Order: sequence, then C-alpha cells, then structure tokens
Amino acid sequence: MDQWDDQQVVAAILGGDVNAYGTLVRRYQKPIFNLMYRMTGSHADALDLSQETFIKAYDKLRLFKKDRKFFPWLYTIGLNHARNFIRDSRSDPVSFSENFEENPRVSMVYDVEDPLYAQIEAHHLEKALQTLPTEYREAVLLHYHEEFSMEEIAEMLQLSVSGAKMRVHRGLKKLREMILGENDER
Amino acid sequence: MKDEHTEPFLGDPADKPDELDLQIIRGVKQLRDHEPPPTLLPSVMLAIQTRRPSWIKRVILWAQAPRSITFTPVRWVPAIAAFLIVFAIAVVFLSDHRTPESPVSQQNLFPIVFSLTGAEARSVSIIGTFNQWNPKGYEMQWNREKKAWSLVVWLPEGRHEYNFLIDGNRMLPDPEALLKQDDGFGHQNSVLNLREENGQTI
Repeated sequence: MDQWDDQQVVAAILGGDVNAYGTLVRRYQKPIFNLMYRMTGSHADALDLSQETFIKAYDKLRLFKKDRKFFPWLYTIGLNHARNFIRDSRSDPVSFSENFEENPRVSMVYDVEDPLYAQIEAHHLEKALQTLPTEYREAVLLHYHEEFSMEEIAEMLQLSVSGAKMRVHRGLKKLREMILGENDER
Repeated sequence: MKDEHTEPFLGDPADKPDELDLQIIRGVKQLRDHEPPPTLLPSVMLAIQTRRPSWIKRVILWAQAPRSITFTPVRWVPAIAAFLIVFAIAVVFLSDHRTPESPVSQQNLFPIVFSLTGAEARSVSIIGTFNQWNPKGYEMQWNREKKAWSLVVWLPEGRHEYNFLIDGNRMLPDPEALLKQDDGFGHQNSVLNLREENGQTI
C-alpha cells in the first residue's frame, strides 16, 4: 500500500480499510507537524494540532474530490485549523524575532555543507523567516522548501495562481530586505 | 528542486534573482524539518479506530455484517398462545356477527332447533335421514327453565324425515311437526321441508 498513490489509498479507506489511513499519516506527518510548529512555536501544540488535523481530514474524507491532490487539501485543513487555534487562544502567530537568541527551542536545523549558504548566517535566515507574516512565510516555504507548484500553492492558500506567484515573490523580497537590514545593522 | 527558481519573478528585469536571492532560496530549501514525535501516527490511528462512526455508516455496517439468528421455541410459546387467543376471539366475533339473511356456511346449511317438551325420559336423541338414523352425536340437551329437550342441527335444504329416540329404545314422532309420513313399518316419521326462505324452528 505504501506504493499506492494518494487517490488509491483514499479509495481503500472509503472502502472500509481504516488502517490504510496510516499510509497517508506517515506520508504527510512531517510537513503538517512543521506547519503547526511554525504556527505555534510549541512542540506540544504542534503535536495536538497535527493530530486534530489528521482526524478532521479523516472525518471529511468523503468530501475529498478524487481528481484533486490529497496534500494540498490536507494542508488547507491544517492551516485553517491552526488559524482557528490561534484566534481562539487569542495569541498572535508566533514571531521569534524578539527572543530568538534566548529561545533555542524554535531553532530550525539546517545543512551547512552548502558553501554558498554558509555565507549567510543561518540564524539570520531563520529569524527573518519567523518574522515574516504567516501568508508570506507559508508561500515561501511551500514553494522553495516543500517544492509545490504555484497551482498547488494557490489552492492551499486559496489564491489565484498569479496571486500565489505574487505572494512568493513578495515573501522572498521581504526576506531579502530583512537579511540585508540585519547585515547593515551589523 | 530546480537550481534556478525564477518562477515567481514576474517579468520585471529588476526583479531577476541575484546571487543573494539564490543563496536565500538555497538556504530555505536546506532548512531541515523537525521530526514529528513518534506518538503522532499511533495517536491518530487510535483515535480514528476507536471513534464512533456516523449513524449512516453504522446503518450501512450493520446491514453489511453477517449475523446469526437463534430460535428458541420455548420463548415463542407466549407469543403463539397470544396469537391463538386473538385468532379464536376473532373467529368467535366474526361468527356472532353473521347477517341473518346470508347462508350460514358455504355448504348452505341452516341451523334447525329441534325441541321436545312433555316427554318423560332419561335421554333423548334426534335421528333421521340426515344422520342415517344413527343417534351418536345427536344427543339432545335438557333445559330446566324451558323444561324441554333441545338440539341445534345444521341441515341443508330439502326434505328431511326424523324422529326422537327416547332412552335409546323408543321412537317418538315430533308432536309439533306439520307433516308426518308412514314409514311402511307401522310407524310415522316427522317430515321437515327445508327451503332457504323458511328458516323455521321446530
């Protein structure tokens, strides 16, 4: 079943094979958990929200259109769920710019083998990413980190394709400005 | 991932990615994800396996599931008894509500009341052509109030000859009979001509 595409797995689940849902959870638990972690900055909250997202998606699985891709659909559910959580808990989406140095638990791990990347101080990139508004941060990460197409990003963020391109472009531009600003400050 | 990510750059030459942009893009790409806790998968699976399905799904699952049926006759006795009682009551009720003009049965039998008064006897039976002069099963009942022997016999249309059998050994013609006929052996038989419109009582 691990070799099946998402649509085949969904068909098996809707046919009564509950355990087949484990295949989809295994496939997408990492990006969903990281989305929740970026949104909340809390390991515990990210775990709870991830679990709730998968359960909510399972409950709505009959509404999933078979001609669509599963992950964008799942991601949309997760993003909305995280936004609701933040709104209900009356806290702002996580911004780590103020206390990144003092708060190492939010640090992302990165690969420093790339010599070009090594020229940019890693924590500046992370700090800038976390400071970006959610809609820009998610657009940049979805495109450059998760490698989704603009069509898929448009679907996930409920934008037009040109709107998605604009979101990614502006997100990258803001990142650049932040990094240059920090470099200038130094 | 492609080496050159130029897709979001919207045609303005000023927006073409320079080296810093490409470094940022590579940096974003190489960010390592946090590993989800190992409890995430089992907790999700446990939740969906133990949750109560919707009522529609429960109905479908119930309809699809094989099931065994146990039949214990003793448990059905009260139900069968109740059914028989209701059935018997229904039969009695319907039989008591027959219209008097209609034939009493599909064989067009009519209830004829034979009655004998003023006879001193220990037993009286009715015998005739309708029972081949055999008294068995045609014993008349004594009614203290009316001081008469009586019996209801269901008879078809036609001509019937009959007599009363007193104490099992003496024949007596019906004193109330309108017609009598010699039997060829020195006795008389009572005669009843029964037609549908008669409905008479003897």
